[in-house]
Amino acid sequence: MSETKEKLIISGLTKKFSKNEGVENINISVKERELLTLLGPSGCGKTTILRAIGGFNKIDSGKIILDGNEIQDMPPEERPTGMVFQSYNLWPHMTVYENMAFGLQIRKHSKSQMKEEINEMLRLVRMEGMEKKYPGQLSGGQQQRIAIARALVLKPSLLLLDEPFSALDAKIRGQMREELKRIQREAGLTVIFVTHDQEEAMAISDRIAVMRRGFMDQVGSPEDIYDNPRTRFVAEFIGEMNFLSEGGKEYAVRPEDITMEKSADGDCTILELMSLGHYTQAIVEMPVGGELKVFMEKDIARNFDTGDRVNCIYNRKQTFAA
Amino acid sequence: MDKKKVRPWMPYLMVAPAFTVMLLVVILPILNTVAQSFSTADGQFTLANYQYFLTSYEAFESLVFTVIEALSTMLLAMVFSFLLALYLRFSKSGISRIIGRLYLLPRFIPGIVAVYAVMNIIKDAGFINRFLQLFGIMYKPGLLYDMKGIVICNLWFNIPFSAMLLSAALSNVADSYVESAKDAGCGWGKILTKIIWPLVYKDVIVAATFILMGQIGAFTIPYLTGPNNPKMLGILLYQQVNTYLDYQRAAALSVLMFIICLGGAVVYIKSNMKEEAWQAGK
Repeated sequence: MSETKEKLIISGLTKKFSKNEGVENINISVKERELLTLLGPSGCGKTTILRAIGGFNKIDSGKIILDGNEIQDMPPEERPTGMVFQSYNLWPHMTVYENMAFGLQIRKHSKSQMKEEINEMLRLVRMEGMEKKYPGQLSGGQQQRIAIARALVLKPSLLLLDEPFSALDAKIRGQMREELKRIQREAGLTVIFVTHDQEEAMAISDRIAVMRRGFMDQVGSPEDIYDNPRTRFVAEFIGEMNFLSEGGKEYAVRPEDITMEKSADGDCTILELMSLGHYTQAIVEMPVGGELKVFMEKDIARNFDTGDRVNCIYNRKQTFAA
Repeated sequence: MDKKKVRPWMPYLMVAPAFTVMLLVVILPILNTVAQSFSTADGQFTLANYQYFLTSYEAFESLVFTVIEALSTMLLAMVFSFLLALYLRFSKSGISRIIGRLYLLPRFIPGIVAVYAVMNIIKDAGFINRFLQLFGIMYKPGLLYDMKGIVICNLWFNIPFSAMLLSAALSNVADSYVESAKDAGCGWGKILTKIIWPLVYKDVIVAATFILMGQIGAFTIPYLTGPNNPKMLGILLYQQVNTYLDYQRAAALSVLMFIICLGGAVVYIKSNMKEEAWQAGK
């Protein structure tokens, strides 16, 4: 990727709701056309940061610089950001067209210009012909598409998405991820995405910021975070992980980085084999106590049975800070 | 399956107690009143009872007085309660939380107690008067035994009541409706007229009709705080029964008041039945 300029710079952002709630001294920047995900369990402060960028949380201190302008003191209606919420995004008493025209009317666009812009956005989210429908007549996925289109039609400099797909069922959620990625690519958008779903974060992000209790534990590409978790929390939160201790030191092994070898004098026992579609998961009992999770291809799994004695080989061990 | 017997009479049995009560205390008395209103004291058919009220200046004055009082109470109560409900819904301050807990209190104070309490404050020798006297100011509010007194006392009861209805309506306005409007560049004025109002205006009509209906037949408050003349319809009706012992005229006046209320009922039912295009299929 070529060197792109910084779109958003957050420095020293602090927002406290109470002593233990909120975020403190957050520093992060987002590049032009980048999709950054704030990932973490609920209460970690990811939504707090997003709402601070959108102007819905007044921050205690720090700076938010978007396109070179400080925006932290502006009210939301003056910020060039567009936000999509988890649910109840669309105004129920307005049609899809009216929902999308609302912001344009405030900006005093002409009728013909408005129509053109709305049609273009509806094409982008693949919802042409839905102009006259009311939100109540659309499915959850359709509503979120319109919500994204409604935000985009105002040409925001930065799109903020607050768990936009978490109210949708698993299959639609998968489709929407792909859609969002496509829309982002086609429209050249800079996006900050908030989610608690690590799989979703891995799938769509250019970079992920993993958050815990108001701090960012690690910021990096999905591969980087998956392969080199910097803390135990990140190792545990992203993907599946086995934790082992050897010689007083703890390290982690991904289930797919373990190979099992059948052996009559093997020191591990297979407790359970479970087919998870395209791969198989084995639960293995270790000699020192505790269980290991092992992933393997279906073809390999056919060689094993529950109760087999096996040896486990760790192909890749990871260490991390406490 | 055979244990699940069909009992066709079951729904009727369940409805029967409520229906019996309604028949005895609502339907029969109404029929009886209507019949009485068209008869003389010795049971002859007559239109004179109606003629009396439709041509009497006193009754006309009472009607105008009642309508003005009812409309004033309704308007003031709606404005105050809508502002209060908006504040309670959208302010997250400590004061808002405290008011949120306290505002229903007036509903739990016995009516007569509240009326005397309000009277003690607003009457010419009441709290306002005495308090100002401390500073050497002699001020007689002139609120009691006047329409103003009736309206003030009614506001005491009706503001919490309609604020409660409107709070429930406003709780259906999700935060994200307001926040996405702000995000789109919308100020508070437009949010109120374009987002909030269309979502709650039906409940505003419902609350307004409830208040209006209550005023048409109001008795206790006007009896204690109102002027002797002109008087509210409720007082006029009371006089027909208790002072003049003219049950037939009282019946006719009851029917006329019932017809006025019917107008409100029509508005209420219409606005409740009317389904907006956006609510269809929900």
